[in-house]
Amino acid sequence: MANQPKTGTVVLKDGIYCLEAEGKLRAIPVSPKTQPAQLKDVVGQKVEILYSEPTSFVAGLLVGGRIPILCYFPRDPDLSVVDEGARATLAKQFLNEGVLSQENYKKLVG
Amino acid sequence: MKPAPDNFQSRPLPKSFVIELTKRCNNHCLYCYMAEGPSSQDCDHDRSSELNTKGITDIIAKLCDEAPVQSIALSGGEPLLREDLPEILSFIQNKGISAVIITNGTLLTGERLASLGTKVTYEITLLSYRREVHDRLAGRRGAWDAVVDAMANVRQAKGTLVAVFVATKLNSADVSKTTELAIALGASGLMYNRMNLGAHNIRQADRLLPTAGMIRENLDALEELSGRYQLPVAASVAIEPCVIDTRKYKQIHFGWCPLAGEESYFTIDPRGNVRICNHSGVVLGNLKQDRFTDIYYNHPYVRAFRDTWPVECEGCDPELKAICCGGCKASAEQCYGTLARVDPFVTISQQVH
Ligand SMILES: C[S@@+](CC[C@H](N)C(=O)[O-])C[C@H]1O[C@@H](n2cnc3c(N)ncnc32)[C@H](O)[C@@H]1O
Ligand code: SF4
Ligand code: SF4
Repeated sequence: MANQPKTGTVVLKDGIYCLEAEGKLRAIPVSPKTQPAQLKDVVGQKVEILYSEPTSFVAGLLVGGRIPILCYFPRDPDLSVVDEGARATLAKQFLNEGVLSQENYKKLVG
Repeated sequence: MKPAPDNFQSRPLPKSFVIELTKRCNNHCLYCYMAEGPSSQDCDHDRSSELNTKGITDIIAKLCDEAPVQSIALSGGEPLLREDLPEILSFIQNKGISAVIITNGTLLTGERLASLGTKVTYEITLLSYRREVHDRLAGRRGAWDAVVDAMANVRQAKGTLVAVFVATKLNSADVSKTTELAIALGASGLMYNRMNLGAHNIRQADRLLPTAGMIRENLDALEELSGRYQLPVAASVAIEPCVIDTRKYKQIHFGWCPLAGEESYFTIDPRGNVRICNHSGVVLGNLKQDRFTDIYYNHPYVRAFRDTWPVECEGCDPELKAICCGGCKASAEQCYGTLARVDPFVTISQQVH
């Protein structure tokens, strides 16, 4: 995905280790494999985002060649992108199949 | 002795909360995750123990004093059984907080919708495009007709609608066509919940819990539909990556347990009791007398919830482990009584391929 962040920076804010990417600051979840001591070493460093998805991205921080530390960033939901023409076609199809009543069909396309 | 402070002790407060306005419900969904199951819609015992309007709004005000609340989901039981829902909703909205109503949709008539308005997101469960399948899972006749009417009403009123599909053995084959029906009905997003197990519905696991193969087929179909229709799809109940490699799905947004951190959604029940999330059955305190911040920062269970790892996860690939965080611990605790076991979905789904 072209518009996905490729890198982020580890920062320490108010005693919490965070990853800064795309102008957003997210706390890095602590797990048995992600100890604060490991993160201390990489504060201020750029880290790689291992892979990303269109609605979210998962960051992997490779700390000194050791196991990757990953954290999950939900993106703000972008809701109304469904094509209206496709909605109307589906509504007509469900009307023809008898799944939707004429009354509800009118509410949807009327 | 108190543990030494670390960055968990000073983590930011959560911004999202779930408020269960009642335990009562007019449906009898076979899969319902509520720990003791929903009670009947006219159960006097539960009705009389619910906080009244002021009790609920006092709790919301208290939460706002203590945490940077940005969103509240009103759930239940069935929240539309509360006649005071419009007042509670206005109270939330007047504080500039975004609201979601999680409902089975059956009581969302045009009139009720008009009283609630369209500034709230309606999250409505549609279990199948087939009447008989939806009604069987919802435990009563007439539920499908009412929910389809409700979704069409929201669309007509230009409200925001998110459809929820709870995947079970009985409806997993219907996922594609049901998603298309939800799109036709105006859904601007789909939440795909694979059935989560708890103390009440574990008895239905054999009959209802979808197999890993069924969920994989569903995710393949949703990946294609999400791309084709530009429909955002979220899988919010953990689908553990040792069961299905979720990394290959580029369109679907997968949710993982926030482990009682900033992204968590603590849940308040109709009496004011606080739990770590809606799937957990463990009460940590009551907001009528306890401070939320005390529970969040000092309750030993909260730390145990974060720190206890299921024994089954010990040898797990660290990359998967870091994504997954040990699956749904609330489900494990409800079913086995301990946080040290893995989500029963992981074990059961691997037994029944
Ligand atoms: C407990 S219900 C309460 C609100 C309302 N009665 C309803 O059904 O929408 C909250 C949400 O959880 C979903 N749900 C219920 N049981 C579930 C389960 N076992 N696994 C996953 N999702 C479930 C419902 O579909 C609904 O979206
Ligand atoms: S409608 Fe909601 S609360 Fe009621 S039984 Fe179904 S899932 Fe549970
Ligand atoms: S952490 Fe546990 S539940 Fe999650 S992928 Fe690993 S073994 Fe499975």
